[in-house]
Amino acid sequence: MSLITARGESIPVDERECYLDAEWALHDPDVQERYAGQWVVAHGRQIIAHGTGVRQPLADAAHLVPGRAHRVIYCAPEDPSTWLEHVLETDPEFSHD
Amino acid sequence: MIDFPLQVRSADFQNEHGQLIRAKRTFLLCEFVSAPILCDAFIDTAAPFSVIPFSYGQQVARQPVATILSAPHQSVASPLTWLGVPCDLAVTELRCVNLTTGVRSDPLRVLAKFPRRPVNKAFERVVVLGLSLVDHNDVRLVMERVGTGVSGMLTVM
Repeated sequence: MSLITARGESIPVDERECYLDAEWALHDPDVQERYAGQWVVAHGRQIIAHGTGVRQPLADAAHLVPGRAHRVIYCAPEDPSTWLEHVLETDPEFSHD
Repeated sequence: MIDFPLQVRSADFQNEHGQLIRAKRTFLLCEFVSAPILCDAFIDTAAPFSVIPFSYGQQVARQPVATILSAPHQSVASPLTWLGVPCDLAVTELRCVNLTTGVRSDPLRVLAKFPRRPVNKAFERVVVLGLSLVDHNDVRLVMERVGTGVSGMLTVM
């Protein structure tokens, strides 16, 4: 049971493990490269399911490791050179509130 | 109140004089409310609206707001685009996640551009959190120099 706090809640321990697996996959360069353009689910620091949409890997992961609140992540290798691109498309005229 | 520390990431470059130029961005770990998708999001307060990349936008629930915008008293519509790609404007919900403390926030309202097709692969991996996040939710965003570099916090109140 989650402890309700002001504007948030604590994450149950077993669910936190699912988050930590997902965070590992999100930030692992090898995973990002190998599964680029796919959605993946990790468990125990291993990729246990992947696919081109969210539903199938989540269904596969639930079948392989049932009873867990698996999280899915999207893989795309990070390219810091894109940080230097100016991303504002327009220069609208803003008024003061 | 719950604090979500910003994760500062840096990328090093070199100028034509061989000098190191370090670029930094501040990230939050987030999760969509309508789907168990964990993602990185970076803060860009120069962006009026957030941006949900196409790959995520295809998988999450949203409430449509606009497909075009026009300024009052002007007949010409302003394009809703992201890196040249036409977008829809819509509302979705995200939670902030702090795995160090094991806490996630209540849902936050996110008014965002949803590109109608993918852009550069690198832009598909990360959500952009624009100024509307702070405008539409009871949060405090602080960025400051502490010690040797920038640090920051999003506090959900």
